[in-house]
Amino acid sequence: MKRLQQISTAFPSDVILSKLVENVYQFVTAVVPISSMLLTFYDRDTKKIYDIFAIDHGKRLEGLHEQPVIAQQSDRPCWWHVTQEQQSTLLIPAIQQEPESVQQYEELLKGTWGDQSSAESFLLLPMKMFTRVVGSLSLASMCPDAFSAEDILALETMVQQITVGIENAKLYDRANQSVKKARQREESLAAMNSALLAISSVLNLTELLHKFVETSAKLVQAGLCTFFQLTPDREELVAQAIYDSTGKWKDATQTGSREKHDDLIEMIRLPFHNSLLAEMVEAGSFFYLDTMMLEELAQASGEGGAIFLRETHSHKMLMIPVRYQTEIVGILAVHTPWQDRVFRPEEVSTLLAISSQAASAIRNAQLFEQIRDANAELKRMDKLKDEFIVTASHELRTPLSAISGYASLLKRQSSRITPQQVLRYGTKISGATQQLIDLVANMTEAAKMGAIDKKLELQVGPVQLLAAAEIASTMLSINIEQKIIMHIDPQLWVTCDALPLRQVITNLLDNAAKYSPPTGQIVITASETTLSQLPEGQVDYSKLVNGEDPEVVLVRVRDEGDGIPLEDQEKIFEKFVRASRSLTTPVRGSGLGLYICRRYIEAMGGKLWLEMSVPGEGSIFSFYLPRMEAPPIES
Amino acid sequence: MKVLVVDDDPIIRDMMADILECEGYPICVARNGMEALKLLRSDEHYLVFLDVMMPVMSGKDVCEQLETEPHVRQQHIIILMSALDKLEEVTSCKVEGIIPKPFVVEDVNEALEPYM
Repeated sequence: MKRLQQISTAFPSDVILSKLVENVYQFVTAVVPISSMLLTFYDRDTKKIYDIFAIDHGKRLEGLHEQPVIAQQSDRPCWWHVTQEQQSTLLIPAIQQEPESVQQYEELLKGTWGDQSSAESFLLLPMKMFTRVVGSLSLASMCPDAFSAEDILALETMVQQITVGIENAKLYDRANQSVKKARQREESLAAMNSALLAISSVLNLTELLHKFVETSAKLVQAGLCTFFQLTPDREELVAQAIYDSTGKWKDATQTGSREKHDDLIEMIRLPFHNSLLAEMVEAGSFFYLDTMMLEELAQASGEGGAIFLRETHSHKMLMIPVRYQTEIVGILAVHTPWQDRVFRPEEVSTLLAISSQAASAIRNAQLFEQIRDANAELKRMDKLKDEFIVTASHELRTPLSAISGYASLLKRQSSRITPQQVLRYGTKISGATQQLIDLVANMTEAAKMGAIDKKLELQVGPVQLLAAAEIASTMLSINIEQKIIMHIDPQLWVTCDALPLRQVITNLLDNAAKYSPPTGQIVITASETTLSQLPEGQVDYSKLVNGEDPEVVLVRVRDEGDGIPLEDQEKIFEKFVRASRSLTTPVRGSGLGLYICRRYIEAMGGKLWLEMSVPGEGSIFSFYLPRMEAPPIES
Repeated sequence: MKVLVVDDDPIIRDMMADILECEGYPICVARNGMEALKLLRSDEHYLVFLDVMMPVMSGKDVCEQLETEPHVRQQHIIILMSALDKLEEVTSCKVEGIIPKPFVVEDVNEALEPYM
């Protein structure tokens, strides 16, 4: 009884299992002469049975309470029946006289504590807590009738005591754990919060994405974290940022500068449209890619994507779709190379939270960059407009000078001049007036054409090139001093709108005349060819599919002028652009002519380009249009 | 003294020829500053109507070049033809006169008279 008291005072506060078990053993050996003892717990949370202490014929099984023997309910039907169903003490006072009970209780007599079937007495005490049984204490003795009724009562009381103690200890431990969990959760929330703040405050997209992958990887201690952005056409996912805590992947890619590194990262592309990724993204908020899926995806990917999927050596890759509202922005891939880690629900929810925050931050950064680009474009347009006004006013000034000069000359000399002179001055004035009219017409036409992507309304039909060129040359602005030579076969017909075609030829001839010395020649030639025969860069490959090679007519306008500086050669086709020339070296025209020409030719299925320009020798402007057979002559 | 008209625009060259012919002055022409310089470096004395905005070599460039060649410069009278709104850009040029564009016959005569 004294020992019992000791135990009862020791147990409730004693939560160290090994110590408790030791106390039980001391108590039992003091009360009854036992040879073997087995202490078994049942955990109703894990539904598993644990043997945590065993003495086999006086010999202790070391390390059992650190690494208990674990069994399922189905492994121990007899134990289950006695402890969980009958919930009463089982006594076999004289085993050797009852061979049938040895057979019946063989499961209880053999096991972790060795073979006790040679013992004389056996006692099993269920550890009961209200109606639940949390374990059992099995005792075996080499003495027959070792357990008297009094002893059993004392042992039952002791077992009752330790059961309460153990349950208390468990409750204490559970409370402790939930406090610890709450603290961990609080810490991770704090970490996440600061990560979210860090992400939201960045407006630079590249920096934002790097921060996003780094924080995500660190929050869940993942080895590798990659953000893939969905391309606008939703065809592919392109890697934008990688955080690699192992450094292996980084070493493989970080061979050069940061830009080179980024270029390499962008080579990691995964298919999206019609791929299993698109299906999985539709299905849920996150998913894992297993070995088979990774391989399937690798086979559908390009080289970069396949290397990423195969050489990161993962059999489980966590994929978190990053959505802004319902629209998918990209996917965050999280895993640790060489590991098949499944993330805990808290970790996944952390990643989900950070991803949704990142989605709106990414959206903001994208909008910011768009606005910045649009702003830069506006500034550029503004500058071009300023330049245009300068050039346009210069161009307007020339005919105005002529009108003003000749008009004043007519006034001053009115009494003296001959009718021939009056005719000459009048012609000059009307010529200059025509030039002004053309300039204004050009400006309004370019304005009417609108944005570069606006479709032009055309009336396309068969046009005889020679006729168009001849009319065009008569439409030239006055005072062309140069000789125009035409080498055009009357059999050449093209499909286009006649009016714009004439306008284009006029414009090219005008330009040629403006740049050439008065004694120079302007030569316009035309030849039939096919699309694939055109110079590289001018071929529209989309029209060469299925072995087709459309017939075209190539028109060249060659002058003997000053040539166009290399840096201006592509710019001259832009709206308003007068290239890098200063005020002191103007180019004639409103700065709209070539822009209008190119728009028209492209709208009619052709292309217009500067074929050659040599300083001091001249330039060749070329264009092509679809060729057609000469229509039958109408009678 | 001969009159030299330097302008890249044939319309202006023609007009200057018409105006000066009526006033009885024989003229010669050049299409840019480079061509003009070649003529100015001869023994001839010229009264030059020099356009500012020209390809290859501008009127301003001609003036700057001539400052390094004083013996050439002193042989000639130079009158710049400059856009009305660009006058301030050519005030630094050391020339005998400036007429604005667009101009009338009287502007040309006024510029000429002191020298011819």
